[in-house]
Amino acid sequence: MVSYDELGARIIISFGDGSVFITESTLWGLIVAAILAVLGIWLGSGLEKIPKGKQVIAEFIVGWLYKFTDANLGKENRGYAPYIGTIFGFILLGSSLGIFGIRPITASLNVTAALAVLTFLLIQSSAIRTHGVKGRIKEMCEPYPFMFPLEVIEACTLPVSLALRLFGNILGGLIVVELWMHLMEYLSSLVCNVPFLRAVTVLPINAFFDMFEPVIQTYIFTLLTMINLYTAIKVTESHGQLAQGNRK
Amino acid sequence: MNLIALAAGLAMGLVGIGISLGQGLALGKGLEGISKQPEASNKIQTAMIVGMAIMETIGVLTFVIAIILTGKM
Repeated sequence: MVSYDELGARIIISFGDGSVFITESTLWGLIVAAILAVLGIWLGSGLEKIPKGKQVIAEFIVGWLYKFTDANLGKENRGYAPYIGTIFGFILLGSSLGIFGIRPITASLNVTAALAVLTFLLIQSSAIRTHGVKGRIKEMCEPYPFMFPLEVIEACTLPVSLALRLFGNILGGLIVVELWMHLMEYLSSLVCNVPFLRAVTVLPINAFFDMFEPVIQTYIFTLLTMINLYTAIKVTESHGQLAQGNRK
Repeated sequence: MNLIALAAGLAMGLVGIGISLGQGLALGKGLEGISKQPEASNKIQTAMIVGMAIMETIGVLTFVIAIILTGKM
């Protein structure tokens, strides 16, 4: 049967009395990060003026990424594109691990919570860097000062909802795939000994839950990150005029 | 124990009704907007997907609660 005993991943290596351990998702997360780093270095090495071979692919990916960030963050905030691209690649590859029969690393709440906390820290630190501490508090007190607690709660809810959304979607996909496999095994065992139904239906199920769903969830995660980042760092109309007036 | 199973199933079922209605409405209106103004399809699509993601959060939260409930059986 399917076991829901552990919401997290299996522990594969433990040291000492078992209080220090490495889970499956930690290990695969490190491997995914290493793969992405090697791929990035290989794609970015030996660049030429006229693109050829792998450079075409690299330019396509980077161009798409910059277009994606420009559309949502504005051209002046291009510096955030590498971060967005990194989390995009990491979540996409980490969630699609189910294709290879490995438990997706984002089906563990620890991984998604870490990613969401990164996003939260990025948003708050960039907002403080643009507006200053005083400006940030003033921004949160708009339009009325009594909205301040609500704004604080809203800012703290964002990482929770980001983490739970990614985790719930990927874990839900995992459980549905497992249940479907068991059902197909049972149904085909009524007819003959070979689980033929399982072998046939695995392809569309995998294509949906391990390829399509991760792409959608990754897109949503990065898009929500960018939208919240933009609302935090955008300079409002009055501020913009002030800044322009100072420059003159 | 049986009541917990019933609660988890009911929670998922009820949230399914709500989310499917809401997302269906959002998708329908989004497609309507795109067919009226094909040149604004990029903006409409982005807003639609974000809105649907926010709706889906409710379902995902219910899913997490249902899993916690089944863990208590």
